Amino acid sequence: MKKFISTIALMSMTALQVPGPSSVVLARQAKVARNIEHPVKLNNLIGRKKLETYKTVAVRPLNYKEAWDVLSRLQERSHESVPFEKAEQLTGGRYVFTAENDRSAIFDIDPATGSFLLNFGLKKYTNEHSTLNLPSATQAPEIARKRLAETGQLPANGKEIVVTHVGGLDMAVAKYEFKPLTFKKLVTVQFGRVLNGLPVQGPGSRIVVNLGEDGVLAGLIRNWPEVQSKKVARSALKSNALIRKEIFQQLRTTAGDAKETFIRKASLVLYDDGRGVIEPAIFVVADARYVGPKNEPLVNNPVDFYVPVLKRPEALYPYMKSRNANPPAYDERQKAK
Amino acid sequence: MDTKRIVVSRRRGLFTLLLLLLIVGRPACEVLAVDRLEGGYVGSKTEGDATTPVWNFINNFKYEQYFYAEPFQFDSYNNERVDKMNFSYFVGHGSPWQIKCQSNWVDLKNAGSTADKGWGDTNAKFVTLHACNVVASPIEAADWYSAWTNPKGVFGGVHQVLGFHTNASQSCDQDISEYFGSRVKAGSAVWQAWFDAIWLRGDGTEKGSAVMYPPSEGDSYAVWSYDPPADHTWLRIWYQY
Repeated sequence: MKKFISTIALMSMTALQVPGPSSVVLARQAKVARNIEHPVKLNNLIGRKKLETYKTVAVRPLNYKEAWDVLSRLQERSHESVPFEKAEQLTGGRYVFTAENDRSAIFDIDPATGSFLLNFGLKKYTNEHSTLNLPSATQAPEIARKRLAETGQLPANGKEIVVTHVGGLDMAVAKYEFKPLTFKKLVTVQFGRVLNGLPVQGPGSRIVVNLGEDGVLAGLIRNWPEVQSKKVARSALKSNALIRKEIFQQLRTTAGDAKETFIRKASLVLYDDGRGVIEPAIFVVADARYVGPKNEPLVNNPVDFYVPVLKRPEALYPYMKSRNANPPAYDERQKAK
Repeated sequence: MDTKRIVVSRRRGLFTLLLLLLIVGRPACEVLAVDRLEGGYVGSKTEGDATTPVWNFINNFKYEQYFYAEPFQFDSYNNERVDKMNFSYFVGHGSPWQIKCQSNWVDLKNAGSTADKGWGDTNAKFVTLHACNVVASPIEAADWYSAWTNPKGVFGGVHQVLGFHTNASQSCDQDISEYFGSRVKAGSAVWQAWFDAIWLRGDGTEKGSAVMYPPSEGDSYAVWSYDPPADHTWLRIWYQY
């Protein structure tokens, strides 16, 4: 009986409870993350660069018919005819068009911005052989640009778009005692944005092109609203000392119980919150080494975060989302277990 | 003409058609109005914010479980936790085939060695391990499969295990889980929605991987294939690079 009670007590202790005020957590964590190294120079993160903020140009929201028309044009110009016969509007407003015979095929569009994700479906790639005539890593960027031009999705300002990565999608099979096999399925080209000489990061400003057999378009993500810039006055910027202080604060919060942290990178970027605001921020990547499983001394799990550069930031940063997410302190229903 | 015979003949035809439909439709269980079982497990309350990404996933559903993660939920008590759910979502730190819970690490290569066995002998169909490097691909390990299907591994009937074979960015995790949850809820194929979420919301450097019993490749929230045998060693991995 005692064992039963103690088991129940152990279970109930794990019911989710959100930590209290962040200042208390920070104070405790400051003691834990005791070894912070920062070989990256943190004394002049902004430099003399004249900074700008950006706001997306408002567009007229699409209705259902217009969203369907966007999909129809994309299909027509890609010479595809996936039967997207099911349509629904999700909470938040996104229109989602799907195909019954392949549930990986989807057209998902935000009517407020026109940003979309299109996947013509992966069912046809599930056989055990590599896709024929996939473009090479060197050919792929040019072919991807061509597909964007053909579908009318190439950004108006060609100077803003840069290739950030060329990769792909592979599949491997391990069957009983046979030697495992690997198959190449798609080639992926990721495009990023550069504004005023700074890379744009965050959930907005990206184009991803998936290429299949003979380099045909297999999927496309386009989240690339047009923007208007505005100069930032020096007086609107935080001091370097304040930025440095906030970097260490966020590092302690993010790395938590790490035995060692090591700032690997701290660079000036533009953060696109995907909600209409792009503004300068410091992007920090740090190694955080934790006590590992048995027989493994320390395991490195890198952490990354953004520190706003503006005294009054308008973008919604990940740490702000965490603060605003407001998950329940614990799940009431677990008490019954 | 004997009209009564035609009616009987038509009935026989209808019966045969229904029988055929039953036989042909057998490979998949389809439920029209579905409410599956979902659970969320927060790897850490003191290392960054693992709470919000878990919440952003399960908040798409009438979830059943929402816990700080402890090793027993994944091994010795999994029949009441991860294996009691159809969809589980863990967020925390990781390394190949290992995840870090509040109190300790779980070695997934051996997590199926207790009396509760692996995942899937009860309810588990899909487990997402949103953590760095857990689902190693052939890029990192030539033997990417036997850690999952060895007799002590966690593949005991589970259909798909999703994760990353690279580092996972903490700046993107809330957005990825939110989008993935919305797509699962909307009925998308599961691992494919996971990859879409990473392409759409990831930072461009993190790469998803998904290991699965091949016949479950087209599974979705509402429609999934029959459970694999507990002792199978037939696996597929899809991975972005």
